[in-house]
Amino acid sequence: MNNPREPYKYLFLIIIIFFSSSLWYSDWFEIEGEGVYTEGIDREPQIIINYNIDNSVELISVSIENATPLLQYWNNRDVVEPEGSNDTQDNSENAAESTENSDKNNLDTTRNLIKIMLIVFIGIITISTINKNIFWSRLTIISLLLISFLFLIQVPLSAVDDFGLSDEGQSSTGGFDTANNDEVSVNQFAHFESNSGFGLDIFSLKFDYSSNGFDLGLLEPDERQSVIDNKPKAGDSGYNSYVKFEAEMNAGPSESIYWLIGMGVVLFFWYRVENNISVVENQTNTTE
Amino acid sequence: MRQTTVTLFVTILLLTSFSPVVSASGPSDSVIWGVSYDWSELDNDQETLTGISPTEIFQDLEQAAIIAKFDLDALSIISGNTYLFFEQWEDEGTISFEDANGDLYDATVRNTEITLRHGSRNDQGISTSWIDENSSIDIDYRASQTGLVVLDVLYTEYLNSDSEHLGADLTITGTAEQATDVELSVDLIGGGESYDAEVGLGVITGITIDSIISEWRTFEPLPLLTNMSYDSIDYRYDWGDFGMVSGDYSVSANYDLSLEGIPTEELDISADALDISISDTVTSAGAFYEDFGTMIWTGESSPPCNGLNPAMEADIGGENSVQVQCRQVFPIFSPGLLGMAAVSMNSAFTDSSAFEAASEELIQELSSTVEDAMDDIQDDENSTASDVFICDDGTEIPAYWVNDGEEDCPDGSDEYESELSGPEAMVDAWANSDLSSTMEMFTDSLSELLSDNTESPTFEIENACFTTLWDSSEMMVVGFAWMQDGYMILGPDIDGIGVHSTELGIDYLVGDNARNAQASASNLESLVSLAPPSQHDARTIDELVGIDQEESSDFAVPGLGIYATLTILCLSAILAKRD
Repeated sequence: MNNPREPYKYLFLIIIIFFSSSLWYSDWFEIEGEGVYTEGIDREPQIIINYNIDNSVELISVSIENATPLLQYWNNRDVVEPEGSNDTQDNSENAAESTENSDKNNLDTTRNLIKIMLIVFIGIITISTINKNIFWSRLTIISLLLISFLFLIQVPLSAVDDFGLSDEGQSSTGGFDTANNDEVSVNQFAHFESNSGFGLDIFSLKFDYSSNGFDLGLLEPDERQSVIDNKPKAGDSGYNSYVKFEAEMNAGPSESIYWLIGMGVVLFFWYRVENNISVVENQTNTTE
Repeated sequence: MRQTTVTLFVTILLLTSFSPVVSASGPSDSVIWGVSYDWSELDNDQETLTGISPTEIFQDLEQAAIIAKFDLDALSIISGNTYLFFEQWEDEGTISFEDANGDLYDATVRNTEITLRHGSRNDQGISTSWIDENSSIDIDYRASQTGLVVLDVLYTEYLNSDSEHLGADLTITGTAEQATDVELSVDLIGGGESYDAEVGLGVITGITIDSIISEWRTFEPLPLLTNMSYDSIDYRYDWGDFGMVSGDYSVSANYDLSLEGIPTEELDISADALDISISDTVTSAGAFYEDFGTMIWTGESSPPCNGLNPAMEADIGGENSVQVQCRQVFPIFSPGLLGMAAVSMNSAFTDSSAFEAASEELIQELSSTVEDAMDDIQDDENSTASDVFICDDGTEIPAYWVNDGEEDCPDGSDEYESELSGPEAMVDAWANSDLSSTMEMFTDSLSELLSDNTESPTFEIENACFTTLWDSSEMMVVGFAWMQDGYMILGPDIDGIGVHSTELGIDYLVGDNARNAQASASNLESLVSLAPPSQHDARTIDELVGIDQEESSDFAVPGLGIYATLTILCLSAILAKRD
């Protein structure tokens, strides 16, 4: 007599392997950012950033819509150097740090870990299918939890570490500036204000950021001090240097989360079916 | 019976709904002529006109590469259609017309409608591979361009009884778009170093004229058409002397530049690739009121084109032949059309601050990028040229003589085994390979093959004659003729003129043939309809550069699939429980 468990467990195994390979080939982590210059620049130029990680590539795509006024803004402004600054030294230090960072490449390590863990997981679940016992079942669940940890926590942390997001400065330009190919110092702006918020979405983290200030680089050098001393009001001289930038950013595990949930659900049903069959078998044995 | 009637009615309704809609507003007896061109004939026409076959050029390139012992494959295909039609007619009767001074005239109304439709697709691919013992260069280049132009012009002239201009109205609508995509894949190996990159560039530019509506009113009647009937006139009307042009416009221009796969090593970004795109759509609407000006140029009616008489009977599509003169006339329609179009377009595009800012910004961005690149190259050249190498015996030689294969130092210390790394090691390895001799052999073979394959063209294009055909009684251009050795290459049927044996992909149409073609072409306003993808098979080029259509689609399982799988599992679980 055939074991009633056989067809189901192999079906579940095939599905789990399929979901695991889909998880490997899916986008692992995604950051979507959208920033708008809501004041100071004509036609509200929009910057859209997508940062994607998958099993082999880390891709950044930057898209600027209504770009002409923003290009004009970047080209027409002067870079205002703070008096007595030692930027050169700072820059070289930053460059050194950056080189150091790029040498680490934590993401590749995480990728290798995930690859190993997925192979181990498939191995464990295959053994568990052939040789059903509580030890292998628990090991399967633990390895799935480990994979989930790697995807949900380790991948973003590696990305942040490699990409250097944690070092990012703040400015009304949102960190984009073609004038000096570097982040803009807050000294560039007078009466600079910035706000940031943080929240949780269903499967992602949500960040809000807004900044505003008077871009001294848009003013003649002899006008700058008066703007620094007295914040201009609408209509005042110097008010045309007012720039406001608002941004929203979502960071999350992209489509990989669905495959992970799928794997969890499949395992849940698998064990449920196994239990039901065991109960039926026990009842049959008791009756006999 | 009733059912049959209804079926017939529905069938007729369906059939009529698919019949071409005649959008031309001219009457059935209007003067209409035009040309249509099938761009897939371009290679044949190029061979006919120049004696050089593009296909054979590609074959020569590949053959020369085989002789030089490397692989080179190149392919180019083009398809699409262009239609250009001119239709002219006069309204019946006269209307009361007021000029710029408020004077009233009885005016006849003459209309000119220009219909232009163009859509083309052009794909090119080059794949080359050179391998030496320790070095290799693999380059795949893939480019595709599309072009679309849809333009409708309606020009209405108001003439007094002496055919003098009192004014005119002009309406222009249309769109023009050009898109280019370039993909470059490079795989370089040499000196123990390797480098590979896949970069894509996309450029889309477009202009949309939602409407430009303008009117020109003269201060006094102008004998422009009469002047066009004279021989050898070459003069220009000064702006402001002959009235004013006013109107309004609503236009937009857009661009989208994208760069994909930018290497990030030099940018201090920890990512494998960077894609950047910038785009903008600049719209502009407004009104204008400008001085009017125009120009006229007419050639001699004699001597005419070789083989054409000063006056001939031509079939321009009417019931009877029309007597036409062989005459160079510019602009080919009323000078008023040229002047009005110039003023209107200038006001809509040049005078608009939004367009000015956009174009200035783009030009500035591009020129600064080019300047930076040129500065870098210059710096490199300067540093290379000015660097000095000191030999072991103290002799100074230019640094670029070092390790060039010749001993330049008296003691030969400039030739040594260097420990180069990176791109320098790669270039050094190539310099010491047979790459330069391979390229030399390729160039020699190619020039030999090209000279062998160049044949005499079917006719000498520089001896061909192009002329407009002028109907002096109606004072209008009714077509053109392209002649060679007394035979017609392109143009209407003219008494006593035979057709040239040369066949080109361009068709000259008059009368009802032109009317039907214009009606069909008027409805073609998209790239898909003007250059159908089904008639443009670029798969051979994709194969040439190694693009697999299936490979290019991302691996993806729809979310629906996941939920369907889960549903099956639930059902399985329920069934298992029942068992």
